[in-house]
Amino acid sequence: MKPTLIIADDHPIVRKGLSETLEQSGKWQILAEAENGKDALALFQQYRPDVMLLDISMGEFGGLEVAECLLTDYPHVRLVIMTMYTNPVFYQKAKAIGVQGYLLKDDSTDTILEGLAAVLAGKQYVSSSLEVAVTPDEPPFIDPTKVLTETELTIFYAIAELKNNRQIAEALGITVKTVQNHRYNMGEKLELKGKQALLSFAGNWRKN
Amino acid sequence: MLKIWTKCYRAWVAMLLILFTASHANTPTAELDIRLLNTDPKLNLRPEQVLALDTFTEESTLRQHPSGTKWLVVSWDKMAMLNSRKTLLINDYTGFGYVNYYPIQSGRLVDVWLGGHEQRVDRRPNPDYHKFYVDISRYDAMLIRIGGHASLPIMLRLISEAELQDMQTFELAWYAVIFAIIGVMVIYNLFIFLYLRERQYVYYCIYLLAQLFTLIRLSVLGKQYLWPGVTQYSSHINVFSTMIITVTGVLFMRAFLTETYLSKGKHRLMLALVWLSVFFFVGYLFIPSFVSGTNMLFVFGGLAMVPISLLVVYYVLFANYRQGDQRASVLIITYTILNIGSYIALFRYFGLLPHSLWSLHALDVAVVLEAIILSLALAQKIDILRKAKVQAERDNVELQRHFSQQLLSVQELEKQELGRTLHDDFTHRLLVIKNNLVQKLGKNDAEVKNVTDCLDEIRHLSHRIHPYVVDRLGLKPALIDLCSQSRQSSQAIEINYLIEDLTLSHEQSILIYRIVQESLSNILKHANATEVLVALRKTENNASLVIDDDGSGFDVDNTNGFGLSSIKARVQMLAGTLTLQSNSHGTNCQIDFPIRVDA
Repeated sequence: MKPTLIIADDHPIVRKGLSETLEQSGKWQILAEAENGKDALALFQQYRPDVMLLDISMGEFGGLEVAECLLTDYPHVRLVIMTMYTNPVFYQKAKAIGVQGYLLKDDSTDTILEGLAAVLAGKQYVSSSLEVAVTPDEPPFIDPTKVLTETELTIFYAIAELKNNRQIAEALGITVKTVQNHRYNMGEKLELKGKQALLSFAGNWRKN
Repeated sequence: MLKIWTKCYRAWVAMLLILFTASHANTPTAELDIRLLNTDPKLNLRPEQVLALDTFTEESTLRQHPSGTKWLVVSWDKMAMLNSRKTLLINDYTGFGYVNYYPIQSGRLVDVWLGGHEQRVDRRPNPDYHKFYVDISRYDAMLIRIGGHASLPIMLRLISEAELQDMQTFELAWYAVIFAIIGVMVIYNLFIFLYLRERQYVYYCIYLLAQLFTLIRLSVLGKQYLWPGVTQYSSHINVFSTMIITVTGVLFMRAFLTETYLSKGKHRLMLALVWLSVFFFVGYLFIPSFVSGTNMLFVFGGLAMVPISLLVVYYVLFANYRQGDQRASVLIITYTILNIGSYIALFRYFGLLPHSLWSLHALDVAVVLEAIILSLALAQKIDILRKAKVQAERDNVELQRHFSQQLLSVQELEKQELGRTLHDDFTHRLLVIKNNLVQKLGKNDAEVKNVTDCLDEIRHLSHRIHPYVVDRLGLKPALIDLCSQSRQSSQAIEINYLIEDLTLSHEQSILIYRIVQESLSNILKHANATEVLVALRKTENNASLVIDDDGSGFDVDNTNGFGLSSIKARVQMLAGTLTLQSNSHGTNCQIDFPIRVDA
């Protein structure tokens, strides 16, 4: 028996083209087509397909919202986002929600079939044409008050207060170069890579 | 208020009556002692014409004799005695006085003609000639002839050189102050006219200038300092300036009063009276005096117009005052002041008031007081108008602001619509075309490449037009995306961000996104920065957006490019405050705004 699929997309031509292509491949059975997010939810309840193929932009209630709803109620559901959005932030969001597959609409039929198959098999799949920056892993939490020196801690709080190097240097009566050295050392101690990571960490530290 | 006014008016009339009778009682009526002492053939003195000899004292008031010209001869002995005082000051308000000097048998004679005389009766009185200084130390004898047709008293006074100098210094100082005040008022009102373009200020300026001119003539300072060479000129100018004062005064009054409350008939009657006085003035000026009788008609007609116009003006003013026109009360005050001054001066000319410092300068003081009070009243109007103008400007700015905000909102909606159409509609259509082409021509065909490029371009364009990431994912991912994209586009700049996940309305999110977009674009283009920080955080009650760079900075006050002004407009739409600090080490832009959430 062929794996089942529901396609949700607000563009009839896209839906039609996609379902024809998949039918022709003979590997998938299309159970239904939804033209908006609500229909997609209802059709899922009705048919319980193996995989849901969701477009992101379908009016207010789009693919990501549908995915969030489905994953809350059915954590094991297999979802593939298929979108025009090449911006990696969408992929990051989808990944954060728990969507397994992320395909682009201009992917080739082979890629689409490959992606669907991978997700069906329980793997993660991202379209190769998407330039996904390697997102760094969550840095380990190290308490800055325990590892940083007094001066470093002062600079750490100043960073959290959005002070730039020059302002910090002026406030402490040291050179900008010294501040940069301190920042580098702090990054090493807190195991944070780059200025951005240190800034985010300091900012969150202040908040908590 | 009205009652007070009527009382004041009555008191004023009563005061004038008292002054009139009092000064009249003081006038010496006794005939002067007639005694012939000396005759000189050259003078052709007839004994019956000699009014008095040696009755002249250091200070005398002489009047024209009813039986014609009389001569007063000051004896040689007396002259020698008087020489210690040196200067004879003569006030001849008839305006017919003049002085002759010539040698006679027994020395040098000064021959003073006062009050006009038979040969020159056609001369009109000229106030420029009412005051003479005669240095009698240079003469051995003096003959004073009093005659003509005027009945004004003539004042003679001998003063020492020191007294003369004091007098002239005081006079100069006094009139300098008076003329300066009036001059300042004229310039002041001219400026107001240039500012407001209201005719009443021009009338008032002409009125003041005519008053000034009259004062200069009456004080004889004009003849002494301004036009000393002109010994004889038409007294028409005197009447002419009076006419200008009257006409501009009436015109000013009409413009100054808020409204005329007189009935149409009465209004016409008032105007007719004004024109009638103008007619008398003109008649007096241009009908030759040798047409006997007509001249007197115009003179008496004009004189009759004085009390009539006085009553007319008061009638109009009180009519307006009763209707609640506050400006009428100002005119009542100033008009009364001017009248008091004028009548004191007039009574002095006729010898009804003593010739003292206060009677001499009453008119000057009145004119200055009038000028100051009226100018203040006029200034009130300019204040009102200025406030209205400021309000109008404020409204205009408000309107412009509102308009630009509306424009931005509409633009944003249009962009959203356009971006969505481009992204959702065109890209999908192109996608179908591309897929068809792939099927027919294969993946690597040039046509397919073209369509793919086109698709990418439309995607980028639509993203530039409208930040759909904000719509789909919210502000935080959109801003992070914006920062990382800017970072990619310019490797030399390090862009760091600290963005909290705030719940904002969609409109606010788009505004914030646009502000950051505009700022980053400005920084990348102009600032020459190496490090940029973008932070969006929640503060105690509000939220705050900080964009900080270490670039070369700019002049915060003098930069009004489109970028900054669009940021300012968006800050206003956020109901936020923009704090912008910039120097050569960098720029810090902080925007604090209240958080709004979509309902």
